Amino acid sequence: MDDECHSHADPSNIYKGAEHCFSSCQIVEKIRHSKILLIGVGGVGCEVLKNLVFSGFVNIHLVDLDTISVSNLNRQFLFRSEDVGKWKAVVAKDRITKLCPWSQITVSVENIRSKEFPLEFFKQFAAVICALDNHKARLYVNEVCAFAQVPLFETGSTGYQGQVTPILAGSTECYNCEPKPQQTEHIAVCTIRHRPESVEHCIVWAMYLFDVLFGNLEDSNPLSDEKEYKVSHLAREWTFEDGARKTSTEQEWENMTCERVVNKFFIEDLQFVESLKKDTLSSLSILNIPTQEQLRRYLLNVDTKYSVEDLKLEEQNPHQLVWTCDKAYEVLIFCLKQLLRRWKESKSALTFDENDTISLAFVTAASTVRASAFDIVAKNSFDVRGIAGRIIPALSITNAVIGDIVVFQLLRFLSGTCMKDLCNARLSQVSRPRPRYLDEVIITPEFIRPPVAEYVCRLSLVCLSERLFGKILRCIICHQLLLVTCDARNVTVRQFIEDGLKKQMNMEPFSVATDVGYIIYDSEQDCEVPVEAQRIDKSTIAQLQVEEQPLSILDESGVYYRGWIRHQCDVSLSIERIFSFGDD
Amino acid sequence: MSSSAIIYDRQIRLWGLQTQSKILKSKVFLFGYHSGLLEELAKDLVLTGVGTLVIGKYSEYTETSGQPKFVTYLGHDLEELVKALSVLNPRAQIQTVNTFVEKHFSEKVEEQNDIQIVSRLIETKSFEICCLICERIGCPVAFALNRICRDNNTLFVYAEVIGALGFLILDLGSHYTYHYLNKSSKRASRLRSTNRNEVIALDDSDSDSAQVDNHSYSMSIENERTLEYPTLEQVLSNIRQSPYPLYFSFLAFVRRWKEEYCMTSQDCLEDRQRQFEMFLQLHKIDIKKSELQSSYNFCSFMNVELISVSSCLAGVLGREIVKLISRNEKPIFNTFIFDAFSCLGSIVYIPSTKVDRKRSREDEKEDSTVYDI
Repeated sequence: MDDECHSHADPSNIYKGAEHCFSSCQIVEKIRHSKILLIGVGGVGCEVLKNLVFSGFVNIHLVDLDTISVSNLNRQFLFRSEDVGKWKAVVAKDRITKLCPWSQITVSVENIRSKEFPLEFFKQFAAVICALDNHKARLYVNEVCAFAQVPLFETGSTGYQGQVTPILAGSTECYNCEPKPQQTEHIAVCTIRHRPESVEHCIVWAMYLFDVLFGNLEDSNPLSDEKEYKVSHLAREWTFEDGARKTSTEQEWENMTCERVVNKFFIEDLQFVESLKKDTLSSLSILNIPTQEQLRRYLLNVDTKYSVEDLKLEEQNPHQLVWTCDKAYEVLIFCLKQLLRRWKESKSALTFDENDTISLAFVTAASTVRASAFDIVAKNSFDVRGIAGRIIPALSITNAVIGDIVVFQLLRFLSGTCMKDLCNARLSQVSRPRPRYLDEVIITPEFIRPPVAEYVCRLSLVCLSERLFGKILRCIICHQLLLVTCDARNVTVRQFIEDGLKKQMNMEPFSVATDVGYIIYDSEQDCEVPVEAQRIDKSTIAQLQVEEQPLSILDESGVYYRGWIRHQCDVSLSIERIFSFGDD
Repeated sequence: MSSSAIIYDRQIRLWGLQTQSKILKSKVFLFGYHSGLLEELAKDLVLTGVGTLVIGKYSEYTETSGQPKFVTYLGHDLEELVKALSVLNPRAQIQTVNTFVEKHFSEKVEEQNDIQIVSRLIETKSFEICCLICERIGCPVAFALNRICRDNNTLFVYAEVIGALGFLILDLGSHYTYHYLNKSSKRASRLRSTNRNEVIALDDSDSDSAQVDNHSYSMSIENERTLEYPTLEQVLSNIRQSPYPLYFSFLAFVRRWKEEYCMTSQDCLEDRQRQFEMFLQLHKIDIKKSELQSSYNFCSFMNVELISVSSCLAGVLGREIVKLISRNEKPIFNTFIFDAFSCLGSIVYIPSTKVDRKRSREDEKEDSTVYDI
């Protein structure tokens, strides 16, 4: 009797639930035959996958690019400590198939933005569930789903909070409609170099410094003019001198380099900033700058005084004290030495990894020294890791709730409820007294708003007010999508522009470019660079490899469109504009 | 601590090391049918790091037409479930009641009855929290367990899923104290932090509370508050007072139905609906016509379990259990309803008959003024 009731390999119980809940038998067939695309098999993704499978879904495709790390294990229950380092999607598939042998899960370890996934790929799914952790990929999925006209379920979770948003471009507000807070806040270069105001600025500076010394120096790095302090550069200087001064040993080189770096970035630079500030009222606090003698002593002592293990233990303790300036100098030198050795062994650039004890200790120490110079309260290495790694706290219990709501919403959708009649669900621990009942709500349903109406867009062209303009065109995804279907191997860019955009759509295109900035058409460039322009003109879409990805199309009138060229054999060229509003 | 510090890093950043170490030391007892809800809750707790988890299965049931259809996936039986959970967190001690009893009672427990063994277990006071996963367990058993928990200062949580509806009823005793981080102190601490440039301003707009929680281990301004919970019996006998009479009368009806009706009746949808109507009349519960229609829909899923609803409720309950272990923040006072169809999960206060309304109003007022600031 027990076995019969609890047989976990029996899907009939699973379908009974849906059948009874939605009082329909058709739902079972729908569940059985709908293909679902799950993007992201992280915290929410694991829960969603489990719920999909045990709600009876059979055909599921997983896309995830990530590997499993130790800090995932507190919530991603499909993974175990022995799986660390493996692909999430692959392990998740294996585990679920073991739990539920009748499921048919396919896997891609691939970026969702890759060309591996053309529009046709998305079109085969009954719904897409997006359980991603970054803004950029979410925007992309939102856009592709709009082009493919596939319902999308957007999920997100941070700490105690989370939300589920069903999106069907054209009938609901899309992910792009509401401007999202920028994930990476741009900090002015001079703030980082000369006027840090918060400990974050110091940490960012320290990370830049890490890149200057050991990493790949990018132009966006505000310290990029300090190229001569790159370790590779310093090392070359040394080998050059080596011929003349044979006495210097590895040890000496290490000490010398440490001294130079500390002198430059933690003594001279700070003195320079101080001199800048002399004329202003505020001045740097009395710097705890070590004397040359002290520096030498540090250089000799640090190897015995510190160990990687101790630093590792320390970084795991949220209660550890913020390092004193002396300690920060010592740790800084210790880490510099360690990193120099590591660099020498690998002979290649190092990248900052907040999970690496030495890199983290380096950034912590550097930021501590800098913060204390600017009279800012520094952070301990536990907190620095959170800031440097942009770590967002995550809980299994929040993910569970979000993963469940999304699957239930999906079931409701399959049972015949319109996307716009579903609701956005918000899980928020902040209690809300409701006037009528005087109670608190943990999971709040929110009505789905329709996309911003189109007439506003037209209005903007009349008003031409800069402010209004920018504001109204904010959701391009909901209004200005052009789906181009053509045989990409035969249609040239000129044909696409002349026959397609100009004739069929009555547009005056100004420029067409891909998201990575590859300009395939520019109306003004024709005369200036005739050869290049002609070459592009005559190339087919397939030769330029711009099919199956979003394009930005700017009209002469200043209206932006988003385009997508879908490759289909035997179709000469047809452009359709998706989602004209007002019909609804 | 070191390896667990890495594993639990993402949650330590949320609730601090102190709470995490409390969780690692905590002992929780789950009792009920081996259902999806039980599995989900056990899974969530084990992942979060609960130190000792003892699971008891209520096995006393008769086969009827109304037999619930559970969706379980971690194991066929309790032993398998325990094994599967131990794999999820090898550090946790996960035991069945039987193995726990063998280990901790020198002499064998004489009682044959599940309930008696469970009572003995609770009487040892080895658990802080007892969760009753109440599928088809009759009210008398639930009330009895609640009484035993109350007598032994064990926090008691009652959880039930009926199709697309989920219910939590908490009885944390007549004197439950917790640390309340009220808004003014939050603001004060933030003010303090801004002065010292301490705020992590990754996302200012919607992570207010998360930000403060982030540093809850360094918080010094706390208020201690006390709540007085009615017992489960008082709550269930007082459903008419609730702002959602429909949900609660349905819950009460399902309990009755599981005890009595489903054994005898032919069990078709119309039959259930008729019985529900009779139940409402009998208890003189007034429900709006429009609401009544949706209650008829409820009747169709009285004995099924949807994994997505179960694990949603388990998630909410898991969060509550963390609150209970850490004694931080106000737990659900005292009932929680989740309706998957409308996506609404709300906390409702159902007063006991003994506690007079006036007092509870004052309580509410006190709270709402805090939110107004």
